[in-house]
Amino acid sequence: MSDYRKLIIERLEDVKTRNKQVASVYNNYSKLAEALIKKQKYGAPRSGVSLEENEELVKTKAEMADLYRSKCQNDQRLINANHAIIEYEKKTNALIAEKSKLEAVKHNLAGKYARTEVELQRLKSDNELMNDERIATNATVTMMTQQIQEMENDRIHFLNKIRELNATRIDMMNAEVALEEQRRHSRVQDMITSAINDVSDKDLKLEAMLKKMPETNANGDLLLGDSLPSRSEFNFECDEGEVNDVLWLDGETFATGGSDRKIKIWKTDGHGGQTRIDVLAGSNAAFTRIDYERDRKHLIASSNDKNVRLWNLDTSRLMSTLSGHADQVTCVKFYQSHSAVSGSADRVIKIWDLQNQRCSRSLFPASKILDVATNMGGSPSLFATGHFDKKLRFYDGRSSDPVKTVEMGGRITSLDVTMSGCELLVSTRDDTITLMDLRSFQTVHCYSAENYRTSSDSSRVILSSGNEYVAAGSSNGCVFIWNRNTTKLEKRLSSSSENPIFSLSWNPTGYGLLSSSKQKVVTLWK
Amino acid sequence: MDYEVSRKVWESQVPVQFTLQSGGTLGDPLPYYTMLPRFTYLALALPKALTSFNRREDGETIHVEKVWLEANGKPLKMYIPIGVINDQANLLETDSILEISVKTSTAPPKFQMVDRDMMEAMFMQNIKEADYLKTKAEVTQSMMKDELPQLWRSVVNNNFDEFWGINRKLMETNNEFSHVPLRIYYKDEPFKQALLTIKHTDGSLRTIGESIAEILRLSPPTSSESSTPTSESSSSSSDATPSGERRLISHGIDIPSHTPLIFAAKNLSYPDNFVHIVISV
Repeated sequence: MSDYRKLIIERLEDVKTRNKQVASVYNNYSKLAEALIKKQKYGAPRSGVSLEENEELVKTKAEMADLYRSKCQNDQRLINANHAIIEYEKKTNALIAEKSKLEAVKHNLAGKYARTEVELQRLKSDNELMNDERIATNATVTMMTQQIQEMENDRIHFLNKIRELNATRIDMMNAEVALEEQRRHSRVQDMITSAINDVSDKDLKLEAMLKKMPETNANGDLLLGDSLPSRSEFNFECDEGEVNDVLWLDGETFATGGSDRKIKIWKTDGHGGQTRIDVLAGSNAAFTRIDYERDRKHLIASSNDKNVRLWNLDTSRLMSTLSGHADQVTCVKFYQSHSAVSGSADRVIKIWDLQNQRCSRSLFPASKILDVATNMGGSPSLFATGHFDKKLRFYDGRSSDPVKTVEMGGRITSLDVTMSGCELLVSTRDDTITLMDLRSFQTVHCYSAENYRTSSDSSRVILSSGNEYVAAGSSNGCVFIWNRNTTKLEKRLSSSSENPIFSLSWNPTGYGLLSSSKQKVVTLWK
Repeated sequence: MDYEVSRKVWESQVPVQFTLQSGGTLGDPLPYYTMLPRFTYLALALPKALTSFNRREDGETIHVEKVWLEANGKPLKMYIPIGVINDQANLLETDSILEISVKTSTAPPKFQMVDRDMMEAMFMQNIKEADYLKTKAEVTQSMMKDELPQLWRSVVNNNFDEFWGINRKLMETNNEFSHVPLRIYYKDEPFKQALLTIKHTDGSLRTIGESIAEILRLSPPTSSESSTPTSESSSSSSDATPSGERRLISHGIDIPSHTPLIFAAKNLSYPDNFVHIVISV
């Protein structure tokens, strides 16, 4: 079975053996061909050995020379390169230094930039804040502009209202003036009527009086008007103590009030005597001031029991008690039509509504009030008050602050207004009496005397019925009478006693002067 | 695989002489001599010869696409392994040099230039055809994509181990070969090929001699008429007579006619997996 395999192997070996010679020849041929190619490619053949050696030697020497030359050049290049390196190192160091500087500058700039950023952020927030504030302010401005517009409208409205009220006030003042004139006219008519009725009864009295009167003018005619008293007609004790005030009610009737807490009404009989016809009671302390309204026959009095009382003399009945003051009421006066003004030691001025029996207004001058005067001619609502602090204050009843304040030389004890209402008589505790023009608040006249002394804080000074004379009582019991216009002391009436005189009252007929004294004595001077 | 036989077959070489016959004015260069492996192809050897010829500086450059090859006065088939070409050219002499003439005249119509790429494609096609005969192409179909090109590269680079690392799959199949890839080169005709099983119907192994007799019997009618009496008389003779009268040449040697066909298929085939046998009458 395997004989074919052996046979094949043997035959393959035979073929290989026979090809061996050819293979060696072929391989050698290839090698020779390659060698030839290399020789052709890389070099020329050499001719002789010795010649070759000599040529090589010459060539080597030439190469050595070239090498030495190259070496020199290379050395020079090396030196130059070293110099260049040194120079480049210097430049590099300089650049490094500059780089460091620039780094520092960069750092500074970065810091500055950061700070600027922070500041920018802050300014931005501030700007936003200001914008918000501006918007709010604009809104506020808009709102306030509207308010201004409204207030302007209100102002115009109020101006119109003020104009209307001024017109109303003028009308009311005109009405008041007309009413006053009418009232005075009625009073004069009544007096004339009563005089006519009583003329028969009084003829004898008049003749007696004329006989007693010492004065006549150059022509010998009888002088009607104020009669300057010269002697004491009579005097009488009418109270238990001081007689603080005395007031003629009409030509033959007068009232007294004092520490006996009673108002007594007296009547003179023309024969040097008087008769008590009535007594008004109700007070718990001494009376201080009396005022009388002839038209309605109302008598009002202030008292130290802190009250003001109003009586009707026709019925002799107490009509009302006005309470509200916190201390002694020092003075009271009828005011306008149905009102009264009272002053008190509690430093409060009260205006009373007599119809409604209540206080309609309180004023606070911060000083004790000693006297009050009303019926100013310039304005029916104007009244004056004299104060412990030496100040004379003028008030308009519709406002709380004084419209005028005048400084005097001493405490103001008494005030009296002329019949015309244009002048005010002021008595002060510096023993002087001043006549003041109410239109300019300037002093017109000043009255004083050598022995004249103000008797008390409430001593009274008066004008005569015809306003010809000024009369005042002194602390020594004398009555001083000055001529109003000439300020000449016309008369000094002395009494037997030395008691201070508290109050005076001139008879409306001009004939007869009452004085009240500290010691129960009332004197009638004629 | 019989390693010894396969190795010796792989290492067989052919002495070749390339002679340029261009008729140039300066005369032709010297011939190009080289030893070529039997399994290689002219498409691979010719560029080297032309490079040698073009190395002369005084001649015109010769391009491979403008030449044609001739041996013994006949144009060569460049797709046949060189070993087979050598066997055909040296029917009478067993140790002569293969002389190939490289001509630059117009190529005859029967000549077909085959370049390297064409040769690679034909090589791989032959392997697939052989595998189809053996295993219905199962092995080549299951091969990886790069293995056939690798077979070609190992042939080009003369790498025995690399070649048989892959060729073992084609030769040692799970089942027996269905048929044996065998090509017969007879006279000047194209090769003959027939379906030949490994065994006879009685189970005995088929030999190469029997296979060749069978193929020659199936020759075309014209040639069969002329050769039938000879084949019949030869086959009917005793065994000693056929081996003496007909030489079965493969790889440069006479193959014993009693060699089993399966042995020849596995160990005496060329790298394209065909057994190429030249018949000398």
